Amino acid sequence: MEYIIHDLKTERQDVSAGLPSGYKLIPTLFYIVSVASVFLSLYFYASKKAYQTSESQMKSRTSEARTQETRFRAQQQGITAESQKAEGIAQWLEGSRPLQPVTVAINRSMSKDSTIAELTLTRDRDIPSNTFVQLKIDGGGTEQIDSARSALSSLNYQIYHSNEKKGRNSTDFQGTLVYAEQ
Amino acid sequence: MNNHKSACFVLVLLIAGMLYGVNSIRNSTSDARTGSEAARSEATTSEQQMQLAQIQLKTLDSKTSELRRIYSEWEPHFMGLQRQQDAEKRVADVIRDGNIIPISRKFEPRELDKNDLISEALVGDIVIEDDYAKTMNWLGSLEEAIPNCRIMKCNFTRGDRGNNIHLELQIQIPLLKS
Repeated sequence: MEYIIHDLKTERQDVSAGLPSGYKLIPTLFYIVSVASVFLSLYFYASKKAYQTSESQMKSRTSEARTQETRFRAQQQGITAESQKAEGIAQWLEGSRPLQPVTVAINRSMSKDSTIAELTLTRDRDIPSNTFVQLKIDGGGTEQIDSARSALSSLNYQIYHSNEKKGRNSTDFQGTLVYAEQ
Repeated sequence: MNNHKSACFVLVLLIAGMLYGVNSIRNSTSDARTGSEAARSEATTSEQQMQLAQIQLKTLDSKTSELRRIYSEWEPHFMGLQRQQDAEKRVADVIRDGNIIPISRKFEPRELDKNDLISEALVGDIVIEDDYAKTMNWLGSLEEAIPNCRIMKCNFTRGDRGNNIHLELQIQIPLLKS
């Protein structure tokens, strides 16, 4: 200890009494703290810089992730809006299935002895995919109605709530046509 | 107080100063670490939310792809007839091309369900009496030319002459608001 302290002094005559032995720890402590302070300061400074760099990288990742999320959400909204429109259009189209093939099929199902006196196709206002059919045939009879039914079946239509009424020389038929997806 | 003691006092002050300085740097490092960890946690959460949004988008995309394909196919038909005049003109064109002379035709816009996408339609009442084959072909060409047109009612009866038929037709043409 004496050596360490003595070593810092230039060679000169002591002008005052030496330090008490307990006080001699202070310079030693000063050296240790000085060195430790330098190292610790450097260590903490480097760590702080690393944390700051990391924080800035994380903020950049956060910002990028949020931008992407916003983009995905916007795309979702776009798809949802388009799907809603598509549903509306699909609903409309479901009730817009062409009726000309139905009328042609019924007409073609008539035999030589039968003629159509009246054919009416009316769409249900609440469920437009359902079509109410009324058919009045002169001549023919049940066989003719069966032939019309089978012509409609070949177009994938099913007939519900059907009703036949046979007159003297004519047959009335009515029912609800529902298209069955294959 | 002699010089040595004064020097020791100065050293103690310097030691205290250095310790204070180091502690300050340590505290600021600690704050930086806390900030960095919070930012990392926030980044992880944001990335998870982004991935969730991406998965939801993919699911929604695949779920609705068929529906949207139909929409993209049909959209031009609906967008082409947004005004009453366009729809009337299209029907008139089909009548002219079919060489049909209608006995009467009347068009009027009608409001449908306000909550539906298609809230308005042009309702047309057309009466035709012509040759059976010609009339049938015309009806087919009407449905082909305006595929989104909805025949609400059609009534066929025998015509006044030999092979003629009398057709009373009510159609609805959707007027889609853009």
